[in-house]
Order: sequence, then structure tokens, then C-alpha cells
Amino acid sequence: MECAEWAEEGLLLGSCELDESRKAAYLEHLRACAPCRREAEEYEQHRSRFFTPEILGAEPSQTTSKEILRVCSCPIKKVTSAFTVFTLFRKGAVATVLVALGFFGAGYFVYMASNLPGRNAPVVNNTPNVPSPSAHDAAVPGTPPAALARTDSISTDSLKPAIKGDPAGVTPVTMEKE
Amino acid sequence: MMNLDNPNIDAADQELFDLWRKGDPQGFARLYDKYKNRVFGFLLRMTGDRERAEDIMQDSFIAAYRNIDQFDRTRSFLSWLFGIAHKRTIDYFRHIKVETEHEHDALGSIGSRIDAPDDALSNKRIQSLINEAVDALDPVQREVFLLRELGDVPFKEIAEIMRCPINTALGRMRLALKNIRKELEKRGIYGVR
Repeated sequence: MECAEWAEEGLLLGSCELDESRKAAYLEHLRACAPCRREAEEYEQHRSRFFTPEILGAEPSQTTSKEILRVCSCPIKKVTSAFTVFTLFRKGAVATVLVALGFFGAGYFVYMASNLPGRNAPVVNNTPNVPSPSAHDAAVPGTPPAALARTDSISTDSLKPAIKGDPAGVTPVTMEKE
Repeated sequence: MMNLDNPNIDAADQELFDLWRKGDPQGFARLYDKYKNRVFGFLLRMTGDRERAEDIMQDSFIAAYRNIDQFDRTRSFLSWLFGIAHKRTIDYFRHIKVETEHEHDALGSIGSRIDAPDDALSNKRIQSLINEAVDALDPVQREVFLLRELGDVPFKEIAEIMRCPINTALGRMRLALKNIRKELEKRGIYGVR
């Protein structure tokens, strides 16, 4: 452009960066200055004919386009603070429930195991009036078993404390040889 | 469709961008189809190598995708995209450690390494002559020219992107136009009126 001071105004006019007052001043100058007007017209002609995306642009390969479309078309996964807190809370809650269930389950198992029938109970013969095999073997042949019942048997009433969980309330069976 | 507040902002682009942001793949696909040739043309002329340009193009779009929340709605989408492409190109040149002299040496052979676009143009000769004239520009002049003419980036934003005063950007553009004119005159296609 012949007038250097106006050349930049022409470029700014093309990019819509001139305010109204500067635009008016520039257009006024163009009306008065033929060389500037000619150059401005030439630039506009070049822009519309030569400096177009069809001429200056270039087509990328299909492979590149497919890859870009594949990656960039995925839904955007946003990690917000609220989501993180919620997730952590949810994970923490699930973990707490699992740990609590574990404690309760283990406690219940220990409780049941410690209270299995006969675990701490004494060995008793709860069949009244039936001699134990040892006592029976030790008996004199011909002696009626009923005679031994008084010493090696125990009444079922005596087991009640054991069943209720008080093994101390049971008197161990003592074997006496006659 | 132009935005009345900022004539450089295309409202249709903003709608497509919003669709993309909401996870609609059509939003991105349409933006990509609209601007892929411009971005690729810019990268091809800045790097002078088709393969490198395609790599940088992928990086640029993926960077845009990852930084989608950082898009400033007061700017145009294309301008933002060209800003990212510019940064990626600078990273590329830093990476390969090409010094200015080597860039100048490479420029002489860019024309032979750039394939002509496949688009069916009415005048392929004019196209190749224009491309040769653009490729013969000094790298900074060529960058300003392509950002402005291919990217529709306003000079104010070109100055921000290139980290220089706006008058420097305008001066480079003037020199670029002057040199293109000289090249076209040499090839006998300047008198277009």
C-alpha cells in the first residue's frame, strides 16, 4: 500500500477489528487515495480467489481422520469433585458394611462354636439304670446290672445346669469298682 | 451465521461445540469436517512434511478434546483450534531442534514434498502457484498469513498466539502479502483484474 499508515487499517478492516470511527476514517482515505484503493481491492480479490480454504487447505488422510474421529467423538468423562466425594463415600459405605458384616459373622460363628452341645459339658451317661461297659465288665458274673446303677449312673436332672451353660453345676461321674 | 457481539464468532460453530461438549459425537464430526482441511493445510505448510503434519493434527485435536473446558466462548472455535495447532507446531520444532537456518533450507524443498490436495479444483495451476508462493515465505510471515487466511484468526489473537505486539503481526502480514505478490508477479498471475 502506498500510504503505510493506512495499510494496517486495511488489514484490520478485513478481520473486523476496526471500530466504527477508524473504519469511517479509513474508508474516507480510500475515497481520496487511488493507489490505496487499488491495493485494497486487489487484496480483497486475492482473498476471495486465491486465499481460500480450497486452495490453501489440504485434505488429511482417511486413516488420520478416522483416528481423530474415533478418539474425539467419545463422550467426555468428567471427574468433578462432587463425583469423587460421592464415589469415595459410596465406596467407604460399602467397605464399612462389609467389615461390619464380617465382624458380626465372625462373632456369631465364635459364639455358636463355643456353645455347641457337649463341647464343655462333662461326659455323662444319661441313661438311667444302665451300667457302663466298664462297670459292667467289672461286675461279677451273675450280678444283676441294677445293682451297679446306683454308683455309675447319673440322673438326667443333674444335666440341666450344663445345658443352661453352667458346667460347674454338674458333678463328674465317678467310677467305683465294687 | 455470525455473532453480533463478535463478528469473528460463528454461532453455528458454538452450537456444534456445545453438542460435542455434551457428548454428542455428531457435534465433533461436523466441526471436524468443516475445518479439517484448514487445520491440515496450516500444519502441512508449517512442517513441510505430510506425515508430521498428520501426527501434529492428531495431537492438536486430541489436545482440544482434552481441554474442551478451557475453551473461551468469547473467541471463535477455529481461532482456538489454530492456537492449539500453533502450539503443537512450536513443540514439534522444539522437539526436532531445527534451527532457523535449517528451517530455511527445508523450505526450499517443501513444495516438492507437499502433495497437491485431492479436491477437484477448476485451476490446479493457480493452486500450485499460490502454494509455492506461500511456501516461499519466511516462516513467521507464513504463519501469520496462514493463521489469518486459513484460520480466520483476528490479528489481536494472532499477536497473543505468537506472543508479539499486534503491530508486529500486522507488519508480518504486510510483508507476507508483499512477498506473495512478488512471487505471483514472477509467475505471471498477479494481474488478476
